[in-house]
Amino acid sequence: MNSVNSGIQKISRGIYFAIEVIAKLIFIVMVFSVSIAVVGRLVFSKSPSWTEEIGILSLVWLCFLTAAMGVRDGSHMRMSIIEYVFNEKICLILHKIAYVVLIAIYLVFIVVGFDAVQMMSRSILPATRLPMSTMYGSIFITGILGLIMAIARLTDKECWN
Amino acid sequence: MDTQAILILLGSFAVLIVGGIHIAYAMIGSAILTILFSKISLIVVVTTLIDGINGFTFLAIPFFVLAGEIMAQGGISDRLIKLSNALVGWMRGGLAMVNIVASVFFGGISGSATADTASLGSILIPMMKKNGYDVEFSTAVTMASSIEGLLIPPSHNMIIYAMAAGGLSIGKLFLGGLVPGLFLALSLMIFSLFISIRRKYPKGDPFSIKEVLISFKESIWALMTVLIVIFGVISGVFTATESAAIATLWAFFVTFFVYKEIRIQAFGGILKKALRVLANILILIAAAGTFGFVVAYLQIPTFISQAILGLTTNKIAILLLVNLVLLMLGMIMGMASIIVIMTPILLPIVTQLGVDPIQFGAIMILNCGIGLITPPVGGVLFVGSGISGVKIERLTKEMLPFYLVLLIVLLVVTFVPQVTMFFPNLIM
Repeated sequence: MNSVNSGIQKISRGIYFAIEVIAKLIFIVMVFSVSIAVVGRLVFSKSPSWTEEIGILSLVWLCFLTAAMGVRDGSHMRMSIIEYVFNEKICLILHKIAYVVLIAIYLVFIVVGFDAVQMMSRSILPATRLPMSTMYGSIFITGILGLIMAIARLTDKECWN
Repeated sequence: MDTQAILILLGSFAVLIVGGIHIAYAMIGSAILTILFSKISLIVVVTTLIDGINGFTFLAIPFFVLAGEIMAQGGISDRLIKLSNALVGWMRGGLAMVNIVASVFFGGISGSATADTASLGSILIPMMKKNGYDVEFSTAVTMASSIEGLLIPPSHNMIIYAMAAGGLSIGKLFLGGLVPGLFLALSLMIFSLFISIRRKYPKGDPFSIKEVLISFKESIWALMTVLIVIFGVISGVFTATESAAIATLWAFFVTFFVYKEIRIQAFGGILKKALRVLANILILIAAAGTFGFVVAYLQIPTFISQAILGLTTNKIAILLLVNLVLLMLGMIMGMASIIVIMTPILLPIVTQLGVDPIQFGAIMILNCGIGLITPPVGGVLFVGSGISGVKIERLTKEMLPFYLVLLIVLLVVTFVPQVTMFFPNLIM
């Protein structure tokens, strides 16, 4: 059991690191795509049509990838009223239930996200000509990543000591 | 109206957030339950999540957060404190004044009350203590003044509000926040002066125009970040998003090539810090898309609006009630959460009473700002306590008169529209 748990933690750390690197790259792409649009408009009186679309696409992916990171960190905003009302033991149980609810939500993301990817694969984004599923795929991928992160958090003994 | 569906949405949302589920996921979870109950296709969960964040204006939020993080860690705090000291340090309680004025400058750049308290507080609280100020007062003035930055442009919270309100002019909102922010700073200065005279806090060095010019020269690179955004947006040269991207590049240039107090290798860490902040904000905005869809589908704003206006049509009573609701929510919820959840519900009510959405933006931000420094859930309160080592209970006691000042400012912003609307009406 312990080896399974340590395997989950190892995999989640690796995935977390990968998400972080990708999110940083997306962030830089976002800044440059919008800056190129500004320079293009002010200097050449014309900005490339793809810049806005790449910016938005990056933002959508950044939003959902960082959400998965937040699950592993346990850093998402929540109300901490329970900590003032209940004792430590009940709080611990409620916190664990919170992660079970997250797992359920991420399962919905995976199932419905997959449907959305299939549905949108025939539509294209007008400027970049990329399939619309590149945008909607973010929910499906986040579903998988979030699920792994939530399970890793739930089974990480260090988080609950 | 589907009363059962409304009960499922609001009931499950209340149970989930009180149970400690992350707020964004509580919004998504309760929306999923209601969608299932209402027999709508679950695919709308995906489309509304994407629609919630799929806007060019939202790009400004990560840019402002990153620019703020770069500037906060790149030696800007020292320079802004030096400039503020040259401007107001000569007064009685000079360091308290410096604290308040530095927050005007710093808040303008970072737009974050927490970053303001952490950056300025870690320098100014020990400095004030060393100069004979009570540590409780030093922390209280740091925390109270940090709210200025939420109102003074650029503020990413204003952008969240603009989008939650259905797409308001960012330029007008930025201008609208300027006078309330400065009015708040002035009110805090007057109150701090009064306390400083009573407690015989010291004066700083005498005023010197030479010192002002020297410190201004050192700070101008950093202050340019704010000017790029404000003048860029107001003049129409840039959109809010474009100005934020340029401000980020400018902040990068100033920090790593002009001030050079941190090495370029530190940029990875700065990006990571920005990502942690964004992990909270962006998913909330996306979740508000799904939650907002269900709220609108069930016509909840109309229902609440009719209920409140059926109770009374007295503008003063309703605005007081709205402030009370926001203040109470501020005690238990984070700022971005309140903005995305409450704006679509409250805005239709106040606009029916003749309140301009721009003015309501200032009211909303100020209310949420006060929430950041009130227990039990006050992010800034925790940071202030952590830096100064003063317990939350003692800090809250010292904060009591500050709360009163903040409430007076809130009432002025609520009932004197000109305070917010003067610049937007004059310039745009």
